[in-house]
Amino acid sequence: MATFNFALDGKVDMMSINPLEMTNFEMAGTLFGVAGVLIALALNHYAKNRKRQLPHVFTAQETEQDAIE
Amino acid sequence: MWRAIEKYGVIFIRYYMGGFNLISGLNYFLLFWPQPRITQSTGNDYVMISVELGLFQFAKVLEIIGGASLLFNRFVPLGLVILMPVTVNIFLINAPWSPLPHIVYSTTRNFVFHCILLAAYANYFYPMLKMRAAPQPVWRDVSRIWKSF
Repeated sequence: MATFNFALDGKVDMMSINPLEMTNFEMAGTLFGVAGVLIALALNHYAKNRKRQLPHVFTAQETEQDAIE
Repeated sequence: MWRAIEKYGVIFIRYYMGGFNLISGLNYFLLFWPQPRITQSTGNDYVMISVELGLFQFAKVLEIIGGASLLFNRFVPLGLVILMPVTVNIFLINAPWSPLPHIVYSTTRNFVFHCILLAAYANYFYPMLKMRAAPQPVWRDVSRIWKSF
């Protein structure tokens, strides 16, 4: 039976579906995620006028039938 | 506001998936944390066979490569493609079979996160939707590889 428990006891309750009850890997992912967002916010704040890389746009010729010639 | 949530949401998910997979892959070889225990379930047999065949070790190498690419924001679409078989397999052998709700929730979340990242980087995958594709062999112009960098 799934529960929604959460306890800061260093153990993982595998019956809990509370997102705060995390395994080591989930904890590592969350820490990297939060750190990444903070870094992105800081970079955005300090580099407002920096030239950004735009998403790549594919040209039609790359997949045209006769492009092989 | 929506654009900010979209932007930072994608950044969080990319770092999350990158960190999760990189640490999971490295931990298999370096063992800085105990390996997760395998529970009795139907999917367990698949894991045991994949370990014997060496597929599990191969999957961990893919996790390291794909995780690093997501974490360091290099070759992200390629990293997503490399990680996709790992994510799908983990989801399929755990979500329907695991008796532990946390594992079901965790593998489903990772699968959903992966799909969100694929959707976020969709512009790199649109060319695959070409109905009639013509070959353009790499050996005719090898320089295109490094020109793509």
